[in-house]
Amino acid sequence: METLALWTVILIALGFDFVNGFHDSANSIATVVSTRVLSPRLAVVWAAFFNFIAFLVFGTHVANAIAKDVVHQDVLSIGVVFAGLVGAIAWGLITFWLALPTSSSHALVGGLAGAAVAKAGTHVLVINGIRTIAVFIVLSPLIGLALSFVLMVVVYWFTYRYERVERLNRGFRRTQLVSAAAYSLGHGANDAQKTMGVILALLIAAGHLGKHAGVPLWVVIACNAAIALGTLMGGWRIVKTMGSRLTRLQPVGGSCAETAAAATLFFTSYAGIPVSTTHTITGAIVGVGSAQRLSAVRWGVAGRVVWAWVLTIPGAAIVAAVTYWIVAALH
Amino acid sequence: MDRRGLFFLASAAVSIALAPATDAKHRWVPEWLALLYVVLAILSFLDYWSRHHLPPGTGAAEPQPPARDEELTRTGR
Repeated sequence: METLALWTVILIALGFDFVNGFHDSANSIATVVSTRVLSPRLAVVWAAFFNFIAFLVFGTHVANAIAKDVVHQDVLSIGVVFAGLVGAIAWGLITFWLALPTSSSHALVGGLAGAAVAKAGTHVLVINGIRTIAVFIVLSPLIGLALSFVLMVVVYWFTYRYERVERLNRGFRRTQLVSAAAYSLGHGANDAQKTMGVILALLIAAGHLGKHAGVPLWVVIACNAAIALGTLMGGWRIVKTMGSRLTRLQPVGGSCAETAAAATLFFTSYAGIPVSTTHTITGAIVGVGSAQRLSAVRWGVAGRVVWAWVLTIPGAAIVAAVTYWIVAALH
Repeated sequence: MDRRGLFFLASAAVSIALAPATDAKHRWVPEWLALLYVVLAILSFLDYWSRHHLPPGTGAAEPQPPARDEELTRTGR
């Protein structure tokens, strides 16, 4: 019975990963589609491919952080992880329906924390780990913003007097193919690892792995495959918000935003810090808009996005806590 | 008033405020980020000042980056 429950929750975790790819596919392809470098269909395939191969490039530091640095491992059980996932998935679907680019990652952290607190109280939270995640909720978009702004200024500086504009424009379109690939690689690495962390926590909680075990290879491949499949099937509602409603993007801007976001994701993936890929690319897009002029950024939309960020962790935590209480009552 | 410079200064303030809350291993990130934002704020203020105080033809009146970006868009496919 417990084995059946374990595999059911693993499938739900992979489902969450799929939804993550589905939800965040817009971030991966928004700039490359809005600048018409790739058609939406081709852009989705391009992003999904690089999502999938991310496991060949990055380690599993982020997965370990999710499994061990959010709540104490002793409190984790199949029920807690199930409730946490339900909270994160429900929140992701609500914000998807509202066409808000919120963070699946923070929904997952909020969900796990909410379910664990519902089971055993606030003392089970790993304060240092959650504090690092909370700090980088704010820092990751600021890093993306600063990097993309600097990149834009450098590009403008070097191309200011370049006469062959058409050739230059073609160059930026090619560059954007590389930058979109890099961003998708970073997205696959950081976001897929969060689900790996959940499954690792489950396997440890169920006694299938020791407390200090690493992520099994089958989990790594399954998670990257799930996020890539989600990206492949991804929706289009958020493309509009990210690609055109936040600020108007051109090939040069798209390149800089994706490169800056990719650099941020590479760093955080290596450092083992779970960050929101959505936050990061949003910050980078705002940085590009700011390099043109601050009024190029539609701050009303950006402000709505920020509110969604603020609400994500508590929202997912509440849904997860209620789910845990229902599961516990039924059990 | 240079709103972009103020925005960068605010970002620097947020970054440095987060430094004490960051674990020692990663504390250099908000510290360097704050420094970068201060530099960007200074450059932005200088840019704003040169646009509004230098006479035309001294460099400040040259086409600005947004114009270049629009040109790239117009001539692109």
